[in-house]
Amino acid sequence: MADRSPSTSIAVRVYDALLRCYPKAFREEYGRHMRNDFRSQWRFERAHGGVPLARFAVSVLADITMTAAREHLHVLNQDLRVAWRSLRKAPAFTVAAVATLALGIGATTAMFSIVYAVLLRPLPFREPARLVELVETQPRANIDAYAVSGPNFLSWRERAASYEAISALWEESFTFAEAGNPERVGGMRVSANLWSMLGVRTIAGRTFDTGEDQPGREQVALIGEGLWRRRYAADAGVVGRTVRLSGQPHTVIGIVPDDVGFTSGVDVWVPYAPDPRMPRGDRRLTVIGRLRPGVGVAQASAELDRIADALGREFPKSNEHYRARVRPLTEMIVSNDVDGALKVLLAAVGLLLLVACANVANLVLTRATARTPELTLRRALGASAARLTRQVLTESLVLGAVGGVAGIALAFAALQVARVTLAGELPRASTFALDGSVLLFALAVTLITSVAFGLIPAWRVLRTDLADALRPAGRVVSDRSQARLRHAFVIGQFCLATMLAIGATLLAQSLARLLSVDVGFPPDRLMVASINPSPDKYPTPDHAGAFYGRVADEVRALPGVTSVGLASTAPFGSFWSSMEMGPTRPTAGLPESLRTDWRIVTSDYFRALDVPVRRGRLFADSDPETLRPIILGESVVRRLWPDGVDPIGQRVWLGNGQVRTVIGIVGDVHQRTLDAGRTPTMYLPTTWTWWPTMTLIVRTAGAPAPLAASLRDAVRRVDPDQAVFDVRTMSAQMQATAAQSQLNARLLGLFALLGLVLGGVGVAGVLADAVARRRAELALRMALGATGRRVVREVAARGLVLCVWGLGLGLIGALWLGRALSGLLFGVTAHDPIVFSAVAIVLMGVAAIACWLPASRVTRIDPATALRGD
Amino acid sequence: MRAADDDERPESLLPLQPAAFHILVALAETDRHGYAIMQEVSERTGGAIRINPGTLYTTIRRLLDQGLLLELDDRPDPSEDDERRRYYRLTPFGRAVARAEVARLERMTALARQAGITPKRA
Repeated sequence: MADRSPSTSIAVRVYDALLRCYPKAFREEYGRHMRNDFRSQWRFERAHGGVPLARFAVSVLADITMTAAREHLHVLNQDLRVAWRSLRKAPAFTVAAVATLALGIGATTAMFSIVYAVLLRPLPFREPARLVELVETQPRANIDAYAVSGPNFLSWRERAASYEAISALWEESFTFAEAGNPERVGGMRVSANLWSMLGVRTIAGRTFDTGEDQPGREQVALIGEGLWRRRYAADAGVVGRTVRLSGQPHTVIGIVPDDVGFTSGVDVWVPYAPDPRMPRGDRRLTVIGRLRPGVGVAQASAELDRIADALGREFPKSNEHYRARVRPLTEMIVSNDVDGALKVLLAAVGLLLLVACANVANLVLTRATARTPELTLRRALGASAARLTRQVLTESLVLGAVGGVAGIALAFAALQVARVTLAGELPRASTFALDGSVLLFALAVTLITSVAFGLIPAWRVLRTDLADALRPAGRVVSDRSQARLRHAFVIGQFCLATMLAIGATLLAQSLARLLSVDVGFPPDRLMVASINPSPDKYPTPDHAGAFYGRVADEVRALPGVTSVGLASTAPFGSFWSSMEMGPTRPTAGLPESLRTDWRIVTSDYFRALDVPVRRGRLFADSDPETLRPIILGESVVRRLWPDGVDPIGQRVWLGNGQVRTVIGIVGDVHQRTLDAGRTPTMYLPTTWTWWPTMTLIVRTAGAPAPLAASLRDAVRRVDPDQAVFDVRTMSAQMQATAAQSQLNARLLGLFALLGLVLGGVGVAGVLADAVARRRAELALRMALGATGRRVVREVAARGLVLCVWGLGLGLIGALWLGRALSGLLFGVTAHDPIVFSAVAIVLMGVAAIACWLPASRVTRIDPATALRGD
Repeated sequence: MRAADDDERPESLLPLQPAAFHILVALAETDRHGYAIMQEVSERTGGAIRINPGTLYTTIRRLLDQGLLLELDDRPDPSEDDERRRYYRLTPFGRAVARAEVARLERMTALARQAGITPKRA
């Protein structure tokens, strides 16, 4: 019956190779028999020819594929059950590990998702990498990004070859009205080609056609999704309707998505073409371009700079010393302070992830060490190395899977909350979504941690000599080195938690200082509201003056109002205006000229704000036009006349060519932000002109907020067609400029708290484990007369030593970290000794509790039972 | 390998997969090794059912786990090539399960007949 034919031996060899598809244990058990049976089968088929050999081979192949897969599933299923059973037997460990994993994965994923949505997510445009911003620069003055003037934009468009298209944008707000019901909306005037250049699809309707930005054709508008949903309940029927934008009729031609990334709060888009007759020195446009395929930013930048250089020679009056450059659009969207703050938060959440990893490693290590005898015994009883490794691995994976699911749920919930609560504080909040790549990263990091540290004890079991390992004394060596590793983790956790806590406290302290800064006037009991009367209805300053006068009278008559002023923009408003000025005719760059903020105000503005008059007087209605009065802030006076010349009656030259006479000096106030200090400011009277938008500043006798509704009514009584907008208390407007600081402090505080909890759990876990292992020893000592309190103290002290080490390293780390943080701090140094000591005290308190709780269990040991049991 | 739990009822393992049923039937009269089981199944069914080694041994592994089969020591089979082969034997529990499966199939067949579904006899 022997068949030594080559075809048989080849078939058997192939079959042998295919047997590798089965799990090793199965192969070892049945492989030989399967091969023998296959050989017998093969010979039989050859001899009797029942079935064509090819068909037989195919059926054997299918058989192996199917059954090998099923056998692997069987093994996995078995491992999972064992792992699940063993985890259920250790509920404390399982809950702690799952909670830590969930926290690490959840917090990291949520934070990274937010950062990703705000900073990193590709803009929702076609090939966003080719989109760039074009800016003017002035290398001599170290200014690397200026807005662009209309004529320069037109010259660039004519001469530059690097772009498929370039567009100009100009922000402007409108009073939006349809069938009455006026509403103030943010708007943008843009080149007609903007939307096709970006490659954004409309939600309904179309975008601008070529040439629709030319005079006479520009009475069309696109409205943003937000306005469309808010005002029209997402009714596409609005396309084709006529609306009034600041009085001018416009036809709505389409609806565009809100999330365009480089701007927020834009409800209306209208076409715009810069007028070539505009002054070339009037730089106010944002310019965006799409690079031609294959053209790099550097190449485009060099070309633009050459063009700017040429323009500087052609138009020296407006363009001398001005150059230009190109930067990726993303750079324009993320301002440096948002970028810096988010990087600090990212670093913080990274630290938190490290704390979580250390905690997981610690827990898994503790557990695996506790299981060393069990694993050793099983190995002695014949379990293969692969089998034991797989067992430990499966358990880690089950843990990771449960923790991962909990983490995803946590991140998801956190993002839901963030979407609502951060909507006013961060751009693109509506797009916050669980980010898959980040989730995978966090899952991978924590899983690798838990698997790696779970395997250490398993490998050790496999390496050690069985006879040694089974002797109790043999375990001491591995126990000791693993204990050292766990201690290192506790120190590491406490170190990181300390750094987080110090960072959070510094930011909180900084925020407190920021919010209590003296802004130059009492900000409580103040209300602001802006009005923008339509120029059609109030074409001249006299018309506007009459309108504002009646509004001020109506508001002043409201109960609870003590005074009412008007200004082109209130302190902490969204619009800043500044101009060169000096005691002689100013020329750019000369030391005696000064760039100061300017505001057009009524005299009541100072009374309403309660800004002190230092010298001279305020504006009076009786001031003759020829006097051309101006009021200066005291810091302006100090800069212009440092040697104590009496400023009253002095003349100053303004950048717009006017010459004015100083009639009064007032106290300085913060005009822009809380952290920027008081702003040098000059004040011009409303007799000179009215600004298109004026802000009412209303001082009240009681709480200002309830006044909002009656304020709107008062304006409506004067003219129901004019929208009142940005109605809020001064405190709210002030705090809005500190929103980023508040967000930083809140988030870092949260991370620090989580870090502290994890650190506490870590040290408590290690001590609880130590107490459990040393039960017999501790019991013996108590039996021999040591008091319970003394033993507790000793055990707790071992944990405290670790915490002190961690704290010390953390303080050093925080000193080093402070450099990164210093840019975000206000009124507190990164090395503030009070903050450092306060954090140290609080952390030692937490450490003491975390150490005392498990140590106190010592007293609950009953010596008799403990000694019998071991 | 696991012995059948005392309280495990044969019915709890039903229905049997066809391969498992054929293996139990092949072992009903005598102990056999793997290849002999394959041959027996093929002969009994006139070549209609062929069991390949993969299906055979994964099924045997499961039947052993469930306590339906018993593994005997390897011994040579003179009728084959005298190689040492591992023999399998039906346990009483395995026989009970096979019986229960037959009863189940009969009940099903009876149901079908009542409904007028009968096989065509050649």
